[in-house]
Amino acid sequence: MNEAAYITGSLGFQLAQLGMWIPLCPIIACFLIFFCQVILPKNIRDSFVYQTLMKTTSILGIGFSGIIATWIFYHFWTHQLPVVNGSQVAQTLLFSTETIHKSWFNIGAHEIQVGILLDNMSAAVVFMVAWVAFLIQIYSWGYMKGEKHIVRYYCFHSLFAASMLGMVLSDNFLTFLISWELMGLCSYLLIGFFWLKKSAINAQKKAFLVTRIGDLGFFLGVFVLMGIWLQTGQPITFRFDDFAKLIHEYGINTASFSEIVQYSRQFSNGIPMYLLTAAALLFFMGTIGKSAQFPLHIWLPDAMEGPTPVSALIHAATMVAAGVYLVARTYFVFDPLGTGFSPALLVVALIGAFTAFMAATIGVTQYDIKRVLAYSTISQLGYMVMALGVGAMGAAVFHMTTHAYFKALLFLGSGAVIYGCHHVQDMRYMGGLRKYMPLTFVVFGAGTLALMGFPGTAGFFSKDMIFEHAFGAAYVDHPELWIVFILGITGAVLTCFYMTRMIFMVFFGKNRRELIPESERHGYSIEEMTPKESPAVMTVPLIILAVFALFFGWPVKYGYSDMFNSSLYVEHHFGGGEQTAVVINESKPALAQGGQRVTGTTMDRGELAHGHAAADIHGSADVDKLHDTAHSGSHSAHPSWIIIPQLLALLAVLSGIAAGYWVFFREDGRKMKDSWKRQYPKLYDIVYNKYYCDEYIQRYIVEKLLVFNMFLRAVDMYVIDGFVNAVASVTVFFTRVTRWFDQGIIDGIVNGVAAVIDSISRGIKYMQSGYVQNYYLIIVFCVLSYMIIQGHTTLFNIKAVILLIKAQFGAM
Amino acid sequence: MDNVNAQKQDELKDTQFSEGAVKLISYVISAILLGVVYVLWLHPIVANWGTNVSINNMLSKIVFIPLVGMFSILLLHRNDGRAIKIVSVIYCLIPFLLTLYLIPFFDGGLQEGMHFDENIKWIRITDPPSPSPGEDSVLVMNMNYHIGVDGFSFPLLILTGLLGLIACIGSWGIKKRIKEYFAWYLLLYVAMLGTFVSLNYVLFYIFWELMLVPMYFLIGIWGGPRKEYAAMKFFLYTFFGSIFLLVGILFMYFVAGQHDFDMLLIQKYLQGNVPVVIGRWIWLATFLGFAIKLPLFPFHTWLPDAHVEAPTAVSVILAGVLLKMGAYGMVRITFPNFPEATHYFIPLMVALAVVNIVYGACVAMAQDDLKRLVAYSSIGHMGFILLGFASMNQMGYTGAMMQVLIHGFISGALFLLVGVIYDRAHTRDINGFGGLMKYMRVYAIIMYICCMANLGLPGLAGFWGEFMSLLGAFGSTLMYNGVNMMRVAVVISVFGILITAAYMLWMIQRMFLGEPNEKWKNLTDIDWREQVTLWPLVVLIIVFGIRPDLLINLFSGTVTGFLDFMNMFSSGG
Repeated sequence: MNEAAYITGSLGFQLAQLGMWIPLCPIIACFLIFFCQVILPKNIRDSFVYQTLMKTTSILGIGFSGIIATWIFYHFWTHQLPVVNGSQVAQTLLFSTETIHKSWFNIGAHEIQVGILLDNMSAAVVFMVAWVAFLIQIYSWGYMKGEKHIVRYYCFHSLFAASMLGMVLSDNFLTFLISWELMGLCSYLLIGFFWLKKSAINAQKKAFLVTRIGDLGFFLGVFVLMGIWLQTGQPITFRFDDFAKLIHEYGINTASFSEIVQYSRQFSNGIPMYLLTAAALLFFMGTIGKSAQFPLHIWLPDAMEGPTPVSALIHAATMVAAGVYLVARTYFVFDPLGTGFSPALLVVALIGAFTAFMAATIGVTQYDIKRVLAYSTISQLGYMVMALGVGAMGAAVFHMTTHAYFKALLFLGSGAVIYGCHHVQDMRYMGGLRKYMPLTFVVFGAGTLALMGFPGTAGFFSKDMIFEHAFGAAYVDHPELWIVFILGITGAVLTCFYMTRMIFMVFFGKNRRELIPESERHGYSIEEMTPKESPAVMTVPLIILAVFALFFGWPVKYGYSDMFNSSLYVEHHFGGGEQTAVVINESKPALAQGGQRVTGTTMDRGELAHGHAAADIHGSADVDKLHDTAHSGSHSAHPSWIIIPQLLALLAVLSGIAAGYWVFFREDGRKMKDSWKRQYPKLYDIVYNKYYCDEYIQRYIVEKLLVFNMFLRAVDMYVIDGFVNAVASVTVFFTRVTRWFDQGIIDGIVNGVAAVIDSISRGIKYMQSGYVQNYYLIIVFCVLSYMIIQGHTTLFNIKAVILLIKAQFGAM
Repeated sequence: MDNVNAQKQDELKDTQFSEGAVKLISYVISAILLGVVYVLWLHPIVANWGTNVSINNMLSKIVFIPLVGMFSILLLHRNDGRAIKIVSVIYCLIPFLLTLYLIPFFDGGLQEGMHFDENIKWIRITDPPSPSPGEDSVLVMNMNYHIGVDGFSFPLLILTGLLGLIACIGSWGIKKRIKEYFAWYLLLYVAMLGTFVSLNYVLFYIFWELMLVPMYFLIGIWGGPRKEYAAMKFFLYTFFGSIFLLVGILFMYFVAGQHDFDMLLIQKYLQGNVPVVIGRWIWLATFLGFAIKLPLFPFHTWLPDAHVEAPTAVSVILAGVLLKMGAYGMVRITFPNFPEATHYFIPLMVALAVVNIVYGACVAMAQDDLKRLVAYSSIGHMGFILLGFASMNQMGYTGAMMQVLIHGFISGALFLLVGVIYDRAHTRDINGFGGLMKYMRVYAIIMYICCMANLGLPGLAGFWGEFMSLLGAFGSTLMYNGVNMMRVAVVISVFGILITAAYMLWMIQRMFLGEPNEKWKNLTDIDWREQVTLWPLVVLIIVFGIRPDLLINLFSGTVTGFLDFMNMFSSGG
C-alpha cells in the first residue's frame, strides 16, 4: 500500500543512500584506529602525535555523521524531500519514509535484504545520537587527559556510536539485532575500561550478561514473528515494513487463545492476537534488559564503574535509549489494532511506571553523585516506557531525545565536578562548589531543571506530553491505567526531591573536603584538593548541551511535534490514504528499485491517543487537515480536561522542589529528616540497598547455577565418564578372566594332557629294557592282572592255575 | 685407548659426512618429487588456467598430493627439522590452493548431482572371474573409484585445506620426533580430504578408518600427560562407532541389491525398497557411528580427553575437521538414505540437540582448565548443528551448515590460542592467570574477538549458525499433545546461549582482567608465526559475520535440493 510516488533526490543521490553513511563514518574511523592499534609498535602508540591523530579521526568520523544527520533531520523537519527537477515536495507529507535496500544473502530462493529506513523518528533520533556522541567525544579530550589507553577508548567510543546509529537506521531485524548486540559489546568494553579494578570488571560482565538475558527474549520475539510469517507462506524477510504490512493486511483475530488453538494455518480470520502479544512481550524483554527496567535494572548503577563520559554516552544517547527505540520501532506488534491499547502495552505501562517510581525512591538515598544520576536515568527510562505503554509513542521518543540532552549534560557536569574535586565522587565530601566552579554550577543547574521538568525547559514539554497521554488514556477509556498515572506523578515529585538534594549537597553549604579519608585522596593533600573549574574543552560541550536541554522543547511543541512518531507505524495503521496523500510525480513509478518511497499520511498521532476519532480515522482525513496539523502542531484541538494533567505535573514539580528545599536547605527540615531516618531504619536500609535485588539474584540464581554446573561436571566426570571407564575396566577384567581361562583351563588341559603323556611315557620307557626276563615278567603280570580283572573265580580256580603253569613249563 | 678414540672420531666424521650427504641427496629427491608433482599434476592446471580442462581429476590431485609429501618427508633426514617442516607446509598449501581454485567453478550445488566427479573402474568381481567374450557372467561385487563433491562436502573440503595448512604451521613448535610427526600429519590430511570426497562406501570407510591411525599416534606420542589414555579412548570410542557404521553400510549394500558400493546408486535403489523397520534400525546404526564423532551426549566424553591431551595442532584438526565429519556423515549417508526414518527420529534428534546445547554449556562453565572449557564449548555448539538438521527446513539447514563451517574457524582459533598460552606458561588453569592483558596485548585482542564469536555475538560469524538454526527449528513443527515441541526446544536452547556468554566472559575476566599476576610478567606476547596462523581465522570470522552470503552461496543449492528430496517423505509434518 501507499505506493504513492518514487522520487530521486535533486542532488543526484537519495537521502537514504546518504543516510547509510551515518553509521559508516564512525565505523570506518573505528576500524582505522583498530588497525593502527594492532599493527603499530608500542613507542609509536605511546607518542603524542599518534594519539592526537587517532582522537581526531574518531571525532571527525562522528562529526561527519552529525552533519549528515542534521541535513536529513532538516529535510524531515520541514517536510521537504528533494525531488526531481529540483522542485520540492509541498509541505504536506507529515509522515514520510525513505528506504534503500540491497540484497544481503539468500536462504534458498528467498532473498534477505539489508537497508536503511529513514522516517521521522529515525531522523530525529540519529540527529540526537550523533551530536551527543560528538560532544561527549570532545569532552573526553579534556576529561581523559593523561590516560594511557586513550586511543582504545576512542576506538570503542566510535564503535559504540556507530552501532547505535546503525540500529536506529536499520530497516530489518537482523541489522537491528547486530547493532543492538554490538552496543552490548561496546558497553562491556567501556565499562571495564579500567580493567585493573575488580569492581569494574565485575560490572562489565554483569552489564553484558544481564542485558543478554533480555536479548534472548528479543531473539525469541523475532522467532515468534518469523513463525507467523512462515505460516503465511510468504517469502522470508526480516524487514520491518514487510511485517507491518503483513499485520495490516491479514488483520487481527482477537479471539482468545483457547478458541483459536486450532487455527487455520493460513490465518484466514487474521493473525491471532495472542501470538502478537507473545512476540511483543518477548521484544519487551529486550527493552527491560537494555533500558534497565525492573527487574533487570541492576546492571545500570554498576555500570558507573566506567569513565564518566562513558556513563554519559550509555545513559544518554546510546545503550539505554536502544530499548525504548526497539518498542517504538516495533510498535506495530505492540499495538496491532491501532487503538493505543493492548494487553502487551498494559504490561509495558505498568513496568515502566513501577520502574519510574522505584528508581526514584532509591535515588533519594544514594550518596555517590553518579549513582544518583544512574537511578534517575532508570526512573526517566521508566517514564519513556510508560509513555510507550499508554500509547504515546511520539511522546516517548521525544522524552528520549530531551532526556539524552539533559542527562548527557548532567553526567558530563558531574564529570566536571568529579574532575574538579580530584576524582571524589561521594557527595558527602563536596558542598559549596558553586563558588569554585560557577560555570559548571550554571549548566548543571540547567540540566537539573530540565530533568525535573521545570516549566519552559525541554524536559517539561516531553514529560508533560507523557502525563497528558497517561491521564487521557486512563480518563477516557482504560481506568486500569490510573495506577500508571499516579505512580508517574509520584515519581515526578521524588525526582524533583532528589535533584534538589543533589544540588544542595554538591553546590551549596560549606565545602567538606577535609572529611575525605586518606584512602580516597589519591595522594593529594587537603590543600591540593581544592576544587577547580574545568578547561574549555569540557565546558563548551556542556554549554551546548545546556542550550539544548533548556530550549529544545519549544520548536518541537509549537513547531512539529510529530517529528518523533514512527512513520512506519503510523503509515500502516492510519495511512490507508492513497487518495488523500499527496502524490507527486506519478509518472515515475519505475524507479521502484532502490528508489525512495515517499508516503503521505494524514493522521495526527497525538490526537488519536487522546481517545478521539480512533475509529473513523482510516483514510478519512483530508489534505486541508493535513495542512492544519502540519502548521499548528498537534495540540490545536485539545479536549478540556487536558489542563488537569498539566496542572498536576506542575504541582508535582513545585511540591518536589519545595519539599527538597525544606528538607535540605532549612535547619528544621534537616532535623525532621534525621529523626525519620532514625525512626524507620529498616525502611531506609531497604531502599538504600536497592531493595536487595542484587543480593537475591546473586543468591537464588547465580549461585544456584554455579552449583548446578558443578553438579553436571561431576555427572560428566563420574557418571558418564565413569560408565565409560567402567565399561573399559569390565572389559579388561573380562579379558583377564578369559586369559586365565585360556591359559589356566584350555591351555592347561592341553599342557596337562601333554604332561600326563610325558610322565606316563617316562614311566613306561623302563619297560623297554631289552631283557627277555623282564618282558616275561610283564607278560605274567599282565596275565595275572587280566585274570584279576576278569573276576575272582578265575583267580582262585587252582586248576586253571596249574594248567597255566603246565603250559608255561611245557613251552619251555 | 688412543686407537679406540681415533676410531670413534673417524666414525663420527663418517657419520657427519654421511649425514650431510644424506641431507643433500634427500633435498634433491624432494625437489625431484616436487617437480614430478608439478609436471604431472600441476602443470596441466597452469597450462589451461581458468578453463574447464584445468579441473580434470582435480579432487584426486587434492587428496593424494599430500601423500607424495608424506613419502618425501620419509626420505628426509630425521635431524633436518626445518626441511621437514617446509616440505610439509608446501604439501599442505598445494591442496588448499587447489580447493580455492575450484571455487569459481562451483555453483553452490544449484546443478543437481556431484561436481568435479571422477568415476573409474576399480574392483570388479564377476562369476566366472574373467569371462571369455560372449560368455555370460554374473556380477558379484563392483566398486568404482568414485569421488566428487556437492554443496555439503565442498565447503568442508576448503575448511579442511585451510585448517590443515594452519595447523601445519601451528606445529612449528614440535621438537620431539619431527619426522614421524609430520609424516603422520600428512597422512591424516590425506584421510580427511579423502573422507569428504568419497562417493563409494568402501572408499569412504577406508578413509574414515585411516584417519584414526595417524590420530592415535599423534595424540599418543606428542600428547600431554595422559596421552596414552586419551589416544586409546579416542581410538576405541570412534572405532566402536565405526563398527555400527560398517554394519549399516553392509545392510544398505545388501538391501539395495545392486552388488555395488556406490553411494548414489545405493541411495537411489534404497528408496521404497527398504522395509520401514529395517530402515529405522540401519538409520540408528549409522547415526550412532556419526553421533560419536560429532559428538553427542552421552557419547561425548572422549572429546575433552582427546582435546586436552592432544598437541595444539591436532586439537585444531580434531575440533575443526573431525567433529564436522559426524555432521557430514549424517547429511551424506544417514539422512538421504532413509528419509522416512529421519522424519521418524526427529524427536530423538531434537532431544539430543537440546541436551547437548545446555549440558555442554553448563559443564563448560564448571571447568578450570582452559582447554577443557573450549572442548566442552564445542560439544555445546554441536547441538546447534543437530537442531538445525532436525528442523528440516532451509533456514535450519543453512544455520547448521554455517555452524559446521564457522565452528571450524572459531574453535580452531581458540585451540591455537590455548596452545599459545600453554607453550609459555605451561599451565592452563584459568584461575592461575589474571591481568594477562598487560603482558600479552595482541593475544588478548585476538582472544576477545574469538570469544565474542564463540558466544554468538551478532556481527561476528558465530552468530549466524546459532541464530539461523534456532530460527529454522522455531519455524518447523513437531506437535506433541498440542504443544509444538520444536518451540519448547528452542526456548530451552536459548539458555545455552546465555550460559555460553557467561562462561566465556567469566573466563576472560579471570584470565585477562584484574590485577596482573606478577608471576606471569615474563610471558612474551604472541610471536609472528602464531599471528600468521591466527589472523586469517580472525579476519574470516569478521568477514563472514558481515557477509554470510560468501559461505551460504557455497551450499545453498545443494541444501535446497536435499530438502526437496527429504520433504517428499515427510508424513504431513
